[in-house]
Amino acid sequence: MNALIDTDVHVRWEQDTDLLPYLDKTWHSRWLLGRGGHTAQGLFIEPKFYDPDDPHPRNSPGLPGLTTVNIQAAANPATLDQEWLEPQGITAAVISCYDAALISTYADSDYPTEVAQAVNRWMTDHFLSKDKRLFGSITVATQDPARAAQEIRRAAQHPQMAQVVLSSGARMPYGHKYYRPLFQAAHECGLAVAIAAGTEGLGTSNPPTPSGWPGTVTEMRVARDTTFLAHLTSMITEGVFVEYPDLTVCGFGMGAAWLPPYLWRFDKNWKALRSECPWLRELPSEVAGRHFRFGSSGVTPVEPADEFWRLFHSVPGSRLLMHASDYPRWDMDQPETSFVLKTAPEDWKPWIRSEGALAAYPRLIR
Amino acid sequence: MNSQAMTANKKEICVGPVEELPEGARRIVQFGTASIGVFNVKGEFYAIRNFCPHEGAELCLGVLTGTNKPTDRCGEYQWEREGKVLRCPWHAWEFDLETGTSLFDSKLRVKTYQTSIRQGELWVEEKITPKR
Amino acid sequence: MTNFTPAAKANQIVNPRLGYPIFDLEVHCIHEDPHQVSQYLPLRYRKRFDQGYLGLGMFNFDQRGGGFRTDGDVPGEQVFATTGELVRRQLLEPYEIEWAICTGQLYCLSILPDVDYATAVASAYNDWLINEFIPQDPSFLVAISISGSDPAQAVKEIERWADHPRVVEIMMPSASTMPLGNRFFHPIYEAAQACGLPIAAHTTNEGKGISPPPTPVGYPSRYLEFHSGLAANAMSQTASLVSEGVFAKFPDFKFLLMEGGVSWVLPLMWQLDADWKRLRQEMPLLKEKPSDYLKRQFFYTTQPIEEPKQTRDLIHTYEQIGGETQIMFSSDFPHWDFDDPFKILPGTTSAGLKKRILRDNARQLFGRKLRALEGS
Repeated sequence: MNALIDTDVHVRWEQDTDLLPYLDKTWHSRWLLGRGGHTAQGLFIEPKFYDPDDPHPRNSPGLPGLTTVNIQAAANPATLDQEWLEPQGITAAVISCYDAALISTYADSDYPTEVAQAVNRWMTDHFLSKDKRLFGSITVATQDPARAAQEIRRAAQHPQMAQVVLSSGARMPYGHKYYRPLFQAAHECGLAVAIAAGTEGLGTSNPPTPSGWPGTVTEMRVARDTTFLAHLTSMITEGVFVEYPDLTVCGFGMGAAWLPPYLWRFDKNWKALRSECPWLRELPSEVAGRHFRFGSSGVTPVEPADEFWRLFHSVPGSRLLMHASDYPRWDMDQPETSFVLKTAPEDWKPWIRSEGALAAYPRLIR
Repeated sequence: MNSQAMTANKKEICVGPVEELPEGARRIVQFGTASIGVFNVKGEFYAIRNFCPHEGAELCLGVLTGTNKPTDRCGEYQWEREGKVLRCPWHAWEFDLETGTSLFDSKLRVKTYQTSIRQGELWVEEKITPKR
Repeated sequence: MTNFTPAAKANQIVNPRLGYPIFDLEVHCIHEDPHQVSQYLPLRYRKRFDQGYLGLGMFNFDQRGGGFRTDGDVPGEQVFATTGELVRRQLLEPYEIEWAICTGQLYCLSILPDVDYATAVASAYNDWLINEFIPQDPSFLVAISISGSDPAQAVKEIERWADHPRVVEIMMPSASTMPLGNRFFHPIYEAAQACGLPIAAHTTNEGKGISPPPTPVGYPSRYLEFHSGLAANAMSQTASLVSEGVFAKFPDFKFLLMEGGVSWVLPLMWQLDADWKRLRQEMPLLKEKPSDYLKRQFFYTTQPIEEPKQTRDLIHTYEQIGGETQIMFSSDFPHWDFDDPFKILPGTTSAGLKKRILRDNARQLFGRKLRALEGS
């Protein structure tokens, strides 16, 4: 019961120049100067929906002592340990570079592919090799699935790489055959696949709703749920878990309460339409309950808490949640105030605290 | 579609002359308190209860078709049981015409009946379940 | 507008098995022959309509077995609601329906590339429905169709029919090139409010015509993926209408989501309410929590009813979202995912809730028009 695994921690380099050693010289000027590059101003998202709690240093240069990096990500493993892992009693943490997945939404493929390998090598050198409790996320450029699969296999040579991280915004749902090489590589290397919210509709992605672009930031936050819903539906119907029965797909930043009522609908439809996907031989809710895991940081607290957990009892939901802080972002989930950790049924807590992560990430050693 | 079946006793009925149910035809008849459908599929006769366990639709008014066999491989389609899969007219639940078993839940079954031809007449009777 | 107003009459049910008759929110009537509709179109559009041109594009997501029930007069053949006689025989009588709203089949108008054609088709379709179909049965009520793509014309069409005694609702496609809360559509909601008629949006045409793909990440591969995933647009449209302040701006405006399901709105309410508390300055029109507006001005039809393993989970969810007043029964006759009103809310449902869903909520929502029809 004491083990606590944090499955969603954000890291990032302090200066963009930190990545130059990992990038071919061809790309140096684009990396440092090009719009859409990872500048000190942080993640470049357009159109930007204003959220007053989500810091925008470009618009508030006067914030003393804070850079984008320190607000949105941990800059080095020593600080991460002192300020987070140690005080929170965290046994292991899965780290990702929160804005790197965005590169899959760029229009070209060579530069994103190059950036992906640079981020992965940087993360290996600067974080994974410095702290055995840290487990990494492999960034890929999905524009070129064959090369992305190659990069997964290369980066996974480091034993502390635990998952592949994909952008939520996409050109096609992730169950589509187009993406299968990535899942094949992840499977071979014993990695989970994660989808990180936040890039809905961006770059070359499809619009964030089936009716185009919304007008409010609230709707963009709902788009996190509906986007993952589409990926999940695709992966289940296209048989990703038939081909890879040991695979876990993790979702971070999109909550989870929307899923059980959706599974009621999905299950009903499957009974009628199973012949269309003859490889899908069981209820979608059984597949989802086994193969998906959601980070707790995106969960909206509910009063009374019973209402939330009732939904997870209505489907095979005991394995759907795992603790994730989203450290150090503004909406992060601290263990002592985490709605999920505090209100979960007692017999589900070990799973949420650590067992679920251990089951999802074969690379995490007990 | 109406047919009056002569009830010989409550465990079996005579549906009528075999010629009146040619290949591809079906008929709904009353078997005691139950409505059942009798089908001629390529010369083989089947009888099944006319009631879908889902919402009680008249199962025997559904499409008679085949289905894709459950497989272990994505993208693999094996069409099978042509003419032997009864698909409920409402929510398309598939049932094997011969065994009455649901194709998505092997524990779900619709009652089926034994058919036989006696002196040119088609009879339907309760299936004898062997005692264990 | 026709001068002929056939007399309407609630279907009288003798000894209804539930103790009350049922109100059906949705019958998908359809014309048997395109000429029935095209006769009302301007000459320049007739030929293309007769040829089946709707501008939706080549591909479609289709239920492999066809989208309709097959237990009509010829078993195995699809049932189409082409005549009043058929609807009465196969729906109104066996299911003890007192009133049935004919909603037609035209949920693609907003996503046709030719906006003028879409407007013309809406108008001609309403002419056919009201002049030719509705008179076939005294217990039919009407939902007229509009296209969202030309709000000024849509307003004219609403005003054209608003006073017709049997028109109770306005159908607007949920498939759209912009989310329905967008300001572009507000004149439609304003007109609906002024006429005292609810707007009903119907899913299923997502991804067709010039609309974006039916999911936020592109095109699904099969019908199972597509149809299940329609929940995404239901959630998005609801979030849009609330967040863009439609319910605050038009406090008497009522919106009905048809065939979108119901249960997903519970976690959505939690999320919207939490976001509103934090982001109130971004939604200045809202004076109350999003769920307060939804529980008052947003309505749902039951079909296709969700089926959790335990029905009590469904009923509990209904109660949490204001289902006592906001949920109404629809059969969706004659589509394949038709619901039988006597089967869908089994024993654990309180008798009071069941009656509100099967009859009373609809009678309240459409009360003004019903009183005029039943009083006369």
